Parts: sequence; C-alpha cells; structure tokens
Amino acid sequence: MEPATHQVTELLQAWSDGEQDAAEQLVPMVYAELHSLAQRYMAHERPGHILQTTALVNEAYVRLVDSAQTNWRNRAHFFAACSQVMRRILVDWARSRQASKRGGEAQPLQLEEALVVADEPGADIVALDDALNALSALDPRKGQVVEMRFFGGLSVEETAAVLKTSPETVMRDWKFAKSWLRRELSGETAHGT
Amino acid sequence: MAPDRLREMERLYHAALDQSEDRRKAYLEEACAGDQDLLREVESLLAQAQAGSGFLEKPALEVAAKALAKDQRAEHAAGPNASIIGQTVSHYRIVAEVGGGGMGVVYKAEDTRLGRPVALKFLRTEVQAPGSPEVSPASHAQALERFRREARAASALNHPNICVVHDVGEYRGEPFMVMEFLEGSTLKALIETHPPRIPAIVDLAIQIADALAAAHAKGIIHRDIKPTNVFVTTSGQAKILDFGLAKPHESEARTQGIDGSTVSAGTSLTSPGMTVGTAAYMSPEQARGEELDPRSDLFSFGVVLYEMASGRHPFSANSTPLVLHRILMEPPDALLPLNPQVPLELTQIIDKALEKDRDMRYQSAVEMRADLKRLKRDSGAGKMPASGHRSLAARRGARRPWWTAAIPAAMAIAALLYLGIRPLPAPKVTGYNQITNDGVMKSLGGTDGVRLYLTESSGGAHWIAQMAVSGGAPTRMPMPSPSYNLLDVSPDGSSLLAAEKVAYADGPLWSVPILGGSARRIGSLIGSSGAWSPDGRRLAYSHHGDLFVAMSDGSQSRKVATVPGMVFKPAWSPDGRRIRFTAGEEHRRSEALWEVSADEGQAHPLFPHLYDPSDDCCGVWTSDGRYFIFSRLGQIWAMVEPRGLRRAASRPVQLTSGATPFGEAMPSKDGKRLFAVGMVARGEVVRYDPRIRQFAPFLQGISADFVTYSNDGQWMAYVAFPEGTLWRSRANGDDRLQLTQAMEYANIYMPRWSPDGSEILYTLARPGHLPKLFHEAARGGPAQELLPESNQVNMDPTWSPDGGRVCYGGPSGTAPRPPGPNIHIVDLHTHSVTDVPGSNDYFSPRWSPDGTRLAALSMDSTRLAVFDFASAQWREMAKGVQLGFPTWSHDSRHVFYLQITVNPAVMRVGVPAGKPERVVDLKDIHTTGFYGLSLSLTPGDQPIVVRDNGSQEIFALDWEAP
Repeated sequence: MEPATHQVTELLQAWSDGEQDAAEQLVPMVYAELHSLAQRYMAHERPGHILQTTALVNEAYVRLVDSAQTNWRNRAHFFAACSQVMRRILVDWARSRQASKRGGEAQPLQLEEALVVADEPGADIVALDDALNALSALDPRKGQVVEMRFFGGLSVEETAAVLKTSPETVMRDWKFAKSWLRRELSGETAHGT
Repeated sequence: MAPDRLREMERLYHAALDQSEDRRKAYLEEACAGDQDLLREVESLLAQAQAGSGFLEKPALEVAAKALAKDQRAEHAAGPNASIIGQTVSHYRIVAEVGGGGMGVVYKAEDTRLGRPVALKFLRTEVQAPGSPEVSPASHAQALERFRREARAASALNHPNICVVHDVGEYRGEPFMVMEFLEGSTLKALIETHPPRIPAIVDLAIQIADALAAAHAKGIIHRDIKPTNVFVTTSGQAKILDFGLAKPHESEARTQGIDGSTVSAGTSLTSPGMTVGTAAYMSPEQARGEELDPRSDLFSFGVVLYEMASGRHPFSANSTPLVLHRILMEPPDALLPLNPQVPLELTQIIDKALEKDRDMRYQSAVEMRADLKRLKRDSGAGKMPASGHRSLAARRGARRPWWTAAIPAAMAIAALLYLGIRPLPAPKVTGYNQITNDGVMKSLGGTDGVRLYLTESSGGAHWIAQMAVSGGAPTRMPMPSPSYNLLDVSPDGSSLLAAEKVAYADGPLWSVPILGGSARRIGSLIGSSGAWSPDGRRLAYSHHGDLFVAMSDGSQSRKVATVPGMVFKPAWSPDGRRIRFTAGEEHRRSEALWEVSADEGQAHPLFPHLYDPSDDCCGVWTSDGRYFIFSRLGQIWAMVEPRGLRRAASRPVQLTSGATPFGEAMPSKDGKRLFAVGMVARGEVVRYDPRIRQFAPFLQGISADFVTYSNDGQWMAYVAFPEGTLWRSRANGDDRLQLTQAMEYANIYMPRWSPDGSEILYTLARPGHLPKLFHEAARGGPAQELLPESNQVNMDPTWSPDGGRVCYGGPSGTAPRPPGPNIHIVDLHTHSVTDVPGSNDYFSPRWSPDGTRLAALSMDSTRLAVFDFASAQWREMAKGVQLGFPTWSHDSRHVFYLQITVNPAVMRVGVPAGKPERVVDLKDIHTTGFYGLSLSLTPGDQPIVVRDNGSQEIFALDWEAP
C-alpha cells in the first residue's frame, strides 16, 4: 500500500467524522490524480463512445483509498468530494480550452443537444459554473445536488444518500435547479437579479 | 434575491407543475396575489421546465470529452488518419474499417505480397490535453520501441487460441500491428446473441485457459481479459486478442502515483492498461493498482466465465464505482439462480478463479485448465451433477443434466448419495399440502395464526399479500410505498414490520398496522431485516454486517453482533434471551447460522464444526422452544434444542426430502404444522405445429416427460414430471392409468410400446441398483425385469418391428463398462443375447420402424450414426458439439434428433443419405424434464418437447414432533 493511500483514507475518515479541514487537504490530492486520469481518459476515448464519469471517479477511489478500512459512509463522502474536484477540473479545462482557441474557433461545450439544434448561444460549462455559484448562494443544497448529479455523475439515489435526504427531495431540487440554471444560461432572466 | 424568495418561487413552481396545464395560469395568478415579479419569475421558470429535457442530463465529463473529441477530429481532418480506406500502408491495402475501441482502430486489409486477408490495428496516438508536457521525440521513439518489443513478445506466442501478430509497422508516425484476420464474433456478442450452453462454455474455457497457460509460461500477462478481447471464430475456436498490449511480467511498470507525473505520455502510448471501460474485469489487486502477476488474468477469466454461464456480471451494480467496490469487498452474486443448469464443478471453478486473495485463487492457468478438462471428461459420463440443490431458485424445474441422452449409471450413484442423508426417525414430516397455486414467486413473512403474510413478486414488481393459513388465493395488501419489504408480523398480530428499500442501501424500518392506519417509522432505525421479540417489546434488526437490538419504538438501539459479510433473518428464542441469525451474503452459497445473547452479545456460529459451508439459512424456533427449524441445501431441517443438563446441541435432522426443494420454513402458531415455500416443478408438454410455426400445449396440460405413442397411434405412455411414475392413456387423454407406484429417488425413463400395443418397456433407475429394463402389461400388472441375469447397465430399450427382439444399449461417455460392443439385442423367445457389430463406440440405439436399421449416438454424443443390418456397417449421419434423443420418423425415412449445445434445435436427417436440416429452433423455449430436455414425436411426426412451467408455492407440512 502506498503511503499516500493511507493518507487519503485517513483524511476521508476524518472528514466523515466531521473535520472540515480534512476536505481542504483532500481535494488537492485527489485533484492531481483525477487530472491525470481525466487526460488519459479523454485522450483515449474515441468519438461517439459513451463516457462514464463515475468510472473515472472510481478509478481514483480504488487507487487512493485503502478500501479495507473504509465503509459506505466514506464512499458517499468520497463521491461528494470527487464531484467538487470534477467540477474544478472540468471548469478549469473548459477555461483553458477557451483561452487556447481565442478568435471564435472554440465551439462552446454543449450542455444539451436541443441547444445545438436551435443554434442558441452555447451554454458553456464555465457559464454554468458561475450560475451554479449564484444558485448555491441562495440554496446550498440545490448547488450540491447539481454538483453531484452533473459533475459527479451520481444517481438520484446516491445523491440522496450523501445528502441524507430522500430521493424525492433530490428529484424536486434537481428539477427546479435545472429550470433555474437553464433560464440563467439562456439569458432569459425575468428581470435583473 | 433572498433565499426566502427562492423558496417561495420553488414552492409555487412545484405546486403549479402539479396542476393541469390549463389550470396553471389561473392557479399562479391567484397564488401570487398580485405580486407581478413573483408571477413572472415562476412563469419564466416553468417555461424552462417545459422547454428542454436534455439539459444537464449528460454528466459533465461526457460533455467535456465530446468537445475534446470534436476538437481532435477537426485537427485530425488534415492529419494522417483522415481517410485511410483504399490506401496502401506498407504492403497492406486497407479494405475497410472493421472496428475499434478505446485503444485503437482496426481495419481489414489485404496483404499484397501474400494475398491473404489481415487485420491492421492502429494504436491511438496520445492527444495532448492543455497544460500537459509535449511528448518529446526521444520518448516517442522509446515508446515505439517498447511497443515493437511487446508485439514481438506477443508474436512469439504461437498458440492456436491466441490471435497471431504477423508484423508491426509505422505509418506516418503511427504504429500499427498486423494480425490474422478472423471471422466470427467477440465473446461479448456471442453471450448477448447466442449464449453458449454448458459444454460449449467448458470447451471455450479450456481453450482460453490453454492460451493463458502458454502466455504465462513465457512470462506474459494479458492484463485485460474481457469478453470483447476473446474472439470466437465461426468454427468455434476461441482466440484471445490484444495480447500485443500485454506486458512481459518482469517489466511490469507501475502507472499509479498520486502526483500524476508517473503517468507519462510514453507509458500511455503502449499501456493504456487500466482502461476505464474494463474496470469491471479487473482483479482486486489490479483495481488497487498493485503489481500484477498471472493470477490476475485468472480472476478476469473467472469474471468472463461467469458471464458466459449466466449472461450477467458477477459483481453487477448500478454504477462502475459500485462494481469495483464489489470486486474489492464483496462475494460474487450466486450463479445458480441465474442458470440452474450450471454444474456444481463449474461453479466451484469460477468461485476459485474469483477468490479475492490471489493466494487462494488458482495459482496457474495450468491448474485451472486441469479442472476444466476434468469437468469436461466427467460430464461426458453424466457424472456432472447439476448443482441445483444450492437454493430454491436454483431448483426451478428440478433440472438434471441434459447432456447425456441416455440414462447414466451415475443416476444410481446420485441416488445413493441422497440416501446417505435420509431423515432420521423423529421428528418427521408426515404430509405435504400445497396451499397456493397461483404460479408466482413467493417469500413468507409471518403469520398471526389466522393469516399468512407473504411477499409475492412477478415481472420485476413485488407486493405484500395475505392469505388464510388454510390456503387459497393470496390477496394484495395496500402499502404506503411499493418499496416496502415484509420482515415480520408482530406477536399480537396487529402490525407488519417492513423495511423500505432505498436505492442500493438499507432503508428505514416501518411498523405498518394490518387493519389500516398510518405506517409508523420506527425511530431512525435503518436495516434490511428484522424481527420483534416474543413479548413485542424489543426489535432485532440487521444492517449490513451488524445485528442490533432496540426497543420496539426504535429507542436504545445497540449493536449486539458483527460478522464478516451480511446479517439477515434474525429470530428470537421464545424466552427472548437469544437471537439466531443467518450470516453471509444473502445471494451467496456459504451461509451459516449464528447465535448471540440478546443482552450480552458474544456471537458464535451455531454449528462451528461443519466441514463445509452447508448453506444454512433462515432459522426460527417453534413457539414452545423445543425445535429450531431451518433450511439447509434446499430442504427443511430441525434441531432438537438442548434441554436440562444436556447442553450440547443435537445433530439436526432433515425433515423434508424428495424432488421439491423447500425453504423459509415457519411453524404455525399452534406448532402443529410448518409453512414453507416449495419450488414446484412443472413441465408442460408442447408439440411443434409447423402451420403456426410454434410450440403449442396439448394433452390437457399434464406435467409429463417422455411422451410416446403406440404403433397404431391410439395410445400413449408418459412419465409424470417430476414424480417419475409411468402412466398410459388413450391418445386423447382418456382412460388414464397409473402403471407404477411412486418410489422415492427412483425414476422411469423413456417408455416404449411393444409393436402389438400389449406391453410397455422402460428403464428404471433406483437407488442402489444399476439402471435396468422392465416391462409390464399396458392394462396394468406386475413389472418384470427383462434381463434379470445381467450385471451391466441396460438402457435405451427399443423393440424390433415384429416384437420378437429388443435392442438396448449400455452407458455413454466414459462411464465404466465392459470392453467390446455397447449395443446388444435380446431374443425374447430364446433369451439369447447378441452384440451389434461395431457398436463399441455407440449408445442410445433406436430401431427403425421398418426394421432395417438402428440409429445411435457416438459415446461422446457428437455424432449420430445409422447401422444398416443388411451391410452390417455404421454410417455417420450428423455431427455437432452435442446431439441427443435420436427418434425415427414413422416412415423410417428420417431420424429426428436434438442439437443441444450450439444453436439448440430439433434437427432431422434423411436416411440412408441426407443432409441434416433444422426442423425448429429451441433457443427461445425454456425446457425442463428429467434431463432438462427431451424429444419425442407425435404419430404425425410433430416434435414434442417439455416446456418449463415451474413456480414457487406455499406448502403446509404436517409434522410429528415428539
């Protein structure tokens, strides 16, 4: 077992026991690993193949965590942490992509097929990140739901388990948050907020 | 915006969505009460809810990767790969793209020098993500060199079951590999479209094991064994692909590392190694990123074998993380319920390959190959017992091995084994009463003395139902949520204990009043199974591997036991002092009963010295505390509880026996009866109607096997399934007469009418005896042994057309038999026996109705041959992986037979010279019977098979408990 593995396991344990500092230490460590994985993953993926976010998260999980010492609660927390990390990675990546393709070459990251067809202004992950920050300020749980579902690839049930709430509540949050974010991104705000 | 405002918006948003569309606007206007801003906000949100459904539905990574892929495509458009079709690469002319995956693209090409088809595989080049270092030319060259070295290593693996690598090359800086071109499909496609049957699985597995053994002997580990990397050619040969990407064992490079820097571009080029898509086939050590050795391939091979046998992944779960978690932490799902025909030995081989600790796994592919070969040999002799005794579901249809088309001598041996566990005198079950008959799956939850409460399931849905203890149709009970699982009935009969199933986790426990009223959450308890104490004041419940005891309102919960694996089905002793429970994975074979003091803890196994996991489960005390009833190996057992000074538990005794497997026993409140769930085997006789091209039931739905007709077509005989008794009736079902009495563990096989219709001849297999031929009068009468002086296995009797002689065979496969001819003819007048010349390698004879020929099967069941009495020559008529049940058409011009393993079908072949032709496909019909499969013909030569029609039903067992 790598020393780092033990360290991550301990940090996860500490975090699930309520030590918020642990998360702060944890995220950069996971970030490094996930970043390299994401690169490899995306580089080797052929166009048109279906990706699984959770597969990637999990690869980090099995590499980082001494699974014999963790329990289910840790895993849930780990997924939650991975959702945050994934968000950072993808938003950073989207930013650098925009930066490297200045001059209108870069197509925006399409968040839904319908928007492409309608030739609407592209709803970018970077823009989503901003809108999500605004939503989280008003209702942190909704922000978490979106983070886990969209960035972490968690199912409704898994999200509910992490947030210690019912799947129905997550479903309602998810539905409302999507409407809210889509409105923000489409620039159709009812009035300036 | 203030959070309160958002909450108000949200409330109205959901409330409006709950309204019908035409009411929505009016509702909102009223609800907003003149607050125009609020109204606009909510309306704009509702517009979004209606507009798009795909928004954010795809995970972010997929969105990002798609964009990246698009960028790449744009960049590559002018690059090397733009369109390679039609071009010549080295001396290979590219014909078409035939496939691709995460690791590369495969083209079909023509080797212009040798004029043969080849497959060209290009490795995908590393694409630079922003911020990562450029690949230096030096490291690229290094990577290419390593790739070549590895391809050379793979090409050195000259083995018929490894895809040959002919050459490596480079085209515009991209390395490619030249491989033999194969026609067929990947194992993955095969499993999905034409799932192989057991003998074919064993054959393929031996080939794969052989290939792995050869590779491992050269120090090469494949590292990515999975169904898409095993190709099955059209001739049934297994070929392992992508050995070129395997790494020599010694130079195993570690690609893990926390800082990501060790995952260099060069490494990625040649070792995409731990690719995301194949996580499901990783060994535990691979998943942990540890050093690999050949045993890791054997684990992946075990997963593949499991999938071949069941069509399912052994660690299936909703998401890849959970699959990997299960690979690391949990036992595989039980295989048998998925395919009860899997022989016990094969499940053992798979289990051993799937050991998490590699020291406990097969140590080499050679060792695994040996076990597979032994299994193949033994199955030829019919020694392979279907391991259906493992669980209730596994016994569906009470299958027996179907791969021998004759009665194996091992039947008797199996029966002898059964005798060894025959029940002791007392206590004993004296009567079996089936009290439900609705054909759906059931599980017993509890009884209040008047009613039984059960969970029924059908077509993926389950519900809680109740019925009278005397029997009748269960009626569905309304429940607050469809996800409630019934656990127990309160001692006062007022409430049900239910666990709500939440996603993949245990859920909250609820108390549900039986006579209506709202369900009550029991504190904050979470669990999967539970039981109220006899006084109703406490509750034992399980959550994962822990057993807890709490007050019945959910307070004062404390852990009393922890075991490896899962805890389920707790039961209280009548004095409330002890709790016994089942430990182990609920769907796994090795379950054991444990006991713990309700107050003091200290859990220990109930039968600590059991030599073998005996699948003990689901115990419960009788209310007087004198007996403990539980399930073991698909039957109900009882243990007399220690009393007085004798503290040691007595040896448990088996209560039920016979063809019906039982589980989930539960005493009635008065203790006079035991309720249990029994797996009812039923076989519906169906015949193929060529006009409607379907199998259709006939014979008024009797459950029977080996239906056979008299020569005049007026009468039929059959063996009742699963009872094993011989019956005869008119062809229309009238004048039904039972000819033999039921005998425990004995069966009658393949009855045959004498040509004059006066007698029926059959094979009888009884415990302690070799299978023998018996005959009796068709109107009833004593059975007589045909060859009482024979000390050999006699079976497959078949009459000469004049009724003066009977031809019969010996055993098949490698079963012990005397040397020389295996098919004989006895003259019924002189009692002299003659051998059929050249029959040493044949069994299962069938005399043609015109008397001129015999049809028979080769010892290994791969060939159908016909013996011509005039020329005294055998002639081969058909070949296949596994053939069975040769049956003559009434005009003697065709032999019908079953093709069993690959492309199962009823076939027929013209005699004396014809080509085999397919009469009807059997892949969509689920058959049953004493062999799991049989074939006979109607007087009009329509094929008859037996369709599986089994179900789970509740039985009330009368028992004597002295």
